[in-house]
Amino acid sequence: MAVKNLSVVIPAYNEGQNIGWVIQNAKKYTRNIIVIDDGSQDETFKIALKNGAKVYHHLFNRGLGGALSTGIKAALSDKAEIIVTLDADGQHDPKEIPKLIKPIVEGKADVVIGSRFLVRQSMPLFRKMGNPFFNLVTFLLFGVWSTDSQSGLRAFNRKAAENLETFAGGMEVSSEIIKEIKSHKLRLKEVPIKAIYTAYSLSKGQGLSTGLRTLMKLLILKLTK
Amino acid sequence: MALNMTIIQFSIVFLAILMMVKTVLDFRKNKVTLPIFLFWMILWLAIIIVAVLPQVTGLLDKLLSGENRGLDAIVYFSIFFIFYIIFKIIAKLERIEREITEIIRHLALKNPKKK
Repeated sequence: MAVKNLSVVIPAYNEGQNIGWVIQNAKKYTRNIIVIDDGSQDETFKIALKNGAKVYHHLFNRGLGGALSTGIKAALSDKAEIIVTLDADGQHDPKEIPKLIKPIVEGKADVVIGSRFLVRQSMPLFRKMGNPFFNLVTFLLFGVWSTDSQSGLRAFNRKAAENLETFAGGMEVSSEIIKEIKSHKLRLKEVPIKAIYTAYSLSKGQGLSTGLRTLMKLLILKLTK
Repeated sequence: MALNMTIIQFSIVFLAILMMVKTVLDFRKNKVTLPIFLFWMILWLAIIIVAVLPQVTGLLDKLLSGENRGLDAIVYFSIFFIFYIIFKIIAKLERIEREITEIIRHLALKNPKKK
């Protein structure tokens, strides 16, 4: 499926190991690959550049939320009509992109979340428990139910991306996006995806301590907004 | 009466005066704004008064309940106040974090790299 003005946004922090693979595979669907190097200390910047991505460099690490927002702004100024965000750690196979953007291309949704919980699949126990917990927290705080509120694989149409106003710096951005979907009355659809869990990608996501930090940040977000 | 001060009273007064001197110096170096300066000065002064004349807490008793609970009220109020300050600091920190992100984003967007 060739879609005009599709941009793929990949926030990356020390992802030199996998980012090349992610970019190469995403390239099959679009030429507009945007990588946000979020103050990496490794070769992320060089590798992303070498693989043909357009790279924006954060001088210091600002976290997932900060990088994602930079990427979406960059895609919008590149006149993107559809924006796909995907994790740089290789847990999302870019071949899911056509399925992900289909509801947007067909005009049936403004935002699509690739959910890991719509089909049965093996997932480490900690994730299996942690993700529903954050779905519940997101629902209690912001009033929207998603089967995978923490998924990093998402698609937005231009209207949705323009309306997205996130302030979160870190992982709590995922829940904040859900909140934005509600406050701007965007149409949300979820499509089933398979996540590729490797020892590497597991080491990059949320464990107990980052999970707790995310929880605290979400509470602060709720209280100060 | 001042001569009958206990060691604890004496150290509280000594530390409070020290903090007041530091606050004055900070204020003169423009490190703190006038409202903050006044706030700390009044706070330290109040601490000195309570330390030297614990009887003044009796005034609070009359104001609050009539019972002998003035010191308790001060402790409750202090804890509440500390939580309030912590919350304010967290909120401020959060705002500063966002502002830093804005600056970093601004710089990044101005300068895309492509081979």
